[in-house]
Amino acid sequence: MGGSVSKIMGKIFGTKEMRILMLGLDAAGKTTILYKLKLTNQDVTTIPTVGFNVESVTYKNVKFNVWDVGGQDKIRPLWRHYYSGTQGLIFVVDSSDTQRMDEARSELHKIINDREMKDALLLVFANKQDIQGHLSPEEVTNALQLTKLKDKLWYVAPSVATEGTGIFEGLAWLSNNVKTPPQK
Amino acid sequence: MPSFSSDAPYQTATATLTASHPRSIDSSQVKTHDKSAVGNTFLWTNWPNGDSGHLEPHNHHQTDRQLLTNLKNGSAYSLAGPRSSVSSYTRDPLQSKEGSTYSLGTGSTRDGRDGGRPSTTLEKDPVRKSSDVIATGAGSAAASVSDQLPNGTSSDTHYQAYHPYLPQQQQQQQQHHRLPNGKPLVNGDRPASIADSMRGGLEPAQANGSATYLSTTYPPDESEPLSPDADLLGPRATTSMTAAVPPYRYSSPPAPTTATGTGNLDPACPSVDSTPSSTLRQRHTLQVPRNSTGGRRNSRDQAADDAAAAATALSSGRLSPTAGIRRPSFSLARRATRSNQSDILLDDTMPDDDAARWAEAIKQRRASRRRRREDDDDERVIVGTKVDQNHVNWVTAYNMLTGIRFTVSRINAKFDRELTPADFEAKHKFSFDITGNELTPSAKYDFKFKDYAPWVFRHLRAKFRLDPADYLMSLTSKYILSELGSPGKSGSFFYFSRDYKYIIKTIHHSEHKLLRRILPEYYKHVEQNPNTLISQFYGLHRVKMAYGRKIHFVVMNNLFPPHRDIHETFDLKGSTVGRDLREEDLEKNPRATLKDLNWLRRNRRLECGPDKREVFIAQLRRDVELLQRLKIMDYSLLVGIHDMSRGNEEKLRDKTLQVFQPGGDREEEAPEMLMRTPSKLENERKARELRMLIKKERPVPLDQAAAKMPDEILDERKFHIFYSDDGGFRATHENGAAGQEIYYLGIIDCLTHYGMLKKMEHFFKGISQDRTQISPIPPEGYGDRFIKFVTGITMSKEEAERHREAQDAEQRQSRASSIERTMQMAERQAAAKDSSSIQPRTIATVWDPADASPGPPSTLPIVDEAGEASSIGGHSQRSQDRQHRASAKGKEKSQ
Repeated sequence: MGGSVSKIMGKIFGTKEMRILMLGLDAAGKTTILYKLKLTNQDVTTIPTVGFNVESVTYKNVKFNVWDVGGQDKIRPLWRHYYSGTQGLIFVVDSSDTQRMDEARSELHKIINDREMKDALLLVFANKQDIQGHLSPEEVTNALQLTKLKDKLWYVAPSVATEGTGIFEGLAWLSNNVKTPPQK
Repeated sequence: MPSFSSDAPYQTATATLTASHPRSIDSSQVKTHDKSAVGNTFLWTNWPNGDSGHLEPHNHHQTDRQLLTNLKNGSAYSLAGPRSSVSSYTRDPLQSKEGSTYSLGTGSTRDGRDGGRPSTTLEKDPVRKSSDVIATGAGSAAASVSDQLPNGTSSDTHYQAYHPYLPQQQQQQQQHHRLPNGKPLVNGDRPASIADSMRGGLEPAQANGSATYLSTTYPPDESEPLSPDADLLGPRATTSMTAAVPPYRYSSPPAPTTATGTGNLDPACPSVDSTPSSTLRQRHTLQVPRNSTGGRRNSRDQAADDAAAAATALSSGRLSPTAGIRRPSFSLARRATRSNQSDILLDDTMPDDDAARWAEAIKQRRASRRRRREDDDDERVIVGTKVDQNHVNWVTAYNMLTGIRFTVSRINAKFDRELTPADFEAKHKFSFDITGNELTPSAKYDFKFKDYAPWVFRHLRAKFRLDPADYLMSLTSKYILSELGSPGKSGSFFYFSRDYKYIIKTIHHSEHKLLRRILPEYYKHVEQNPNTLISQFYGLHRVKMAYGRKIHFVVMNNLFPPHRDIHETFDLKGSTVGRDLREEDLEKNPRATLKDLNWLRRNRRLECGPDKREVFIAQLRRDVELLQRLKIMDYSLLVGIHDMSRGNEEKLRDKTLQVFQPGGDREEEAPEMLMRTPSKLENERKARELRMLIKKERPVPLDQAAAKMPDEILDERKFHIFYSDDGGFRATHENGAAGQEIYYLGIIDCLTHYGMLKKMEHFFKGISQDRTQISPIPPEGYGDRFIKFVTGITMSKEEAERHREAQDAEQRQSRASSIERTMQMAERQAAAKDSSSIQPRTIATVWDPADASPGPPSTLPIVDEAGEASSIGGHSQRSQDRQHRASAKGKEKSQ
């Protein structure tokens, strides 16, 4: 199978594979980020995701298998079905949506408190930095109470998904911090 | 690694289960004791084999006795061969307390294993498995009590839990034989505290040098009466726990045991150790028996069995009186006792910080209990009695739901687009496994899933006004389904989604092929007839498990609403041969689906005013036309009748449905539980207990569920003419005023092609019966007859009355047509056969005073000729029917 061949190649040449789960409130920009990662220079139009999108993005010799799961509150209970096997969590926050910061925080904590996510790296995209009245990454950090987290590796990256700024920096952080490749 | 280990345990567990059934209780216990020399790492792989081997030999009580004696001596652990000594425990529930204590002692030995755990931890999966078992076992104490008696019942669980332990045992034995001794203190406590006290268990988990473990006490959940059994089981349970969470362990106080340990020759001492485990084990007991038996058995039976078991236990005197008394109060009262116990223990032996830990553990427990309760509410199914997992089909159900979630999520996230002809042919195959891959998320089981024409079904769902998020959520957010008692005649299994909105029906390959073939036509028909009465198909999938069969299934609408009791159900085909349900059977199963002849005999009608009738019949015609064109037959009109005057008070829905939770989220988490912090475990256990409680005490949580039940129309239904009156089609009088009944109608089973088989059936049945009345006839004839029949029974009450009168007059002179004559004959047969038994039916709908034939059926006019009043109502059923038919005919002609 092609898959196994590439796996072998990966072992030989040291490519890592990383399973990433991208969550966040609805309209935070998850799908846009996903497709900006995938189709770097194209404009992306998205619809509210009911369900998930999944794409593989190779960056810096790491193959990111990114799952973008819809964030409408109705379907948030489905998130947990994607936890298993996740090595990195990308939590996307709409930095300009100050009113829902609390909601975002509680959702985030719910996720990372799940046992299956306890080893996952946490990357927060403080997205929509181009919109007036946005919170800075530090403010987002505080709003999400990330400093309270123990035993968690986290990083907040500012981003503007529509322009693609910041998102690869985030990925770079992930690839630099991923521990041992997934235990197989 | 994880995947490997997980698989192994799973399989083994299943294997053990099956094996265990035949065995007596004793054997199961034996396992616990087994101590193989295998290193921890090997355990997983090895143990299945080793286990099975061990079990058999251990069954003998004699050995147990020996062991016990050994234990008394104090040297028992070390002395006994690894297995043999261990195995000797006697499970016998009958044994005196002493006996139980012995077993406990053995249990303590086991505890030693815990120390070995590190390897176990690494292998998460196996641990999880065991934890699951445990969790299930955790079910309410009451349940455990009942179960325990038959000790053997619980054995299954034990097995499962067991394997992780083996390595531990080995280690312990070698290293820490003595450790168990430390427990004696506990034993002493026990008697004092009475049975309840049993719970506080101390584990000697020193093996690896992690002395801390030793003393850990688990909060004893369950009843003491179980004690003998529990004790036996206990050690294992503990082991599993420890293994899973080596470092965490409850805040459990460290080893008071060690200090005390040396002296205990007493059987009691071991019991102490076992106590901690007892909690776990009790769960096992509870669940296990069920599981083992329940595994193959219908979930329904379980409740009954439990009750029976409890009853027997009491009567047999096996259980201490306390146990019996306690039961009702298990939940809270017990807990309190437990903690007291543990406290006592601590006081005796433990240093202060231990006490602090305990306090913490208890607090956690309480908090988690609270949380659990909330969760539980959330998990309640709207309809039916919830039965826990371990259903035979739960893996299948889990896979179905996982597959549906995945495929529907995948397709719905995409940009909508127009369908192309290729979409109707499309099929996508996915394979799921524990690790997941680029395309699929990880799943608990390995299976392959095939999704057919995803785009078409996405569009169909949209046309049926389903909200994709709702669809996903109600089907797949939790692994909860309810199963309809038994497969129908067709051999199909039916599962209801948690909210009762959707049905998953397994279909035969031929039906599958047919549906795929007719999909374009069907799609077009739905497009043009948004109000079609034909089953609404929402998805067509196939699931295949490793070494399993391919199972095709469809997701479709449930015609019946979650919020209304259906008082009578009819399945009407328009054929009269063999279309009868014997009234005796009906008495046995009041919920049974009635058929054409029952309908006629009851002289029922679909009471619709002229407007509704017209709409209904017109739609029916169009639908049948399609089916005729597609050469489909053998479908029927399903009619569920809700009598508003009776409302929902009879809670019929609960009686019809069995709900089981195939490996619900609980399940999912349970495996990991061991790895988690103790509070989680506690959660798990609490949940189980709660659930058991609910199950036992009030199997029908309808009253609570009622609050959640939608009182209004289901959203997607209100756009559908026939499903918009409270999810159904309200009866109306001639003037359009609403009637007393709501009909839930649809054309179902419309996937039978008139192929060779049916032609043969037609031929052979035709030999002995009236060819026009048997059910398998060519599609054209079938459709016409179907329409004629339904048309004939659809009329408002007033209209029916009028027709009847006219008809009666007319009937005297006119000769009935040949069809009518057959119908009459059939009716006569039906009436003759059942006239006497029809009346006593308790479940019969309340007769509307306006109804024409309230009279006792015994006066049914078998002999009467038309028009002669047989009863107060004045009209015989038969004559009424005749009228309907005639009127229908007239209508047809006019049309």
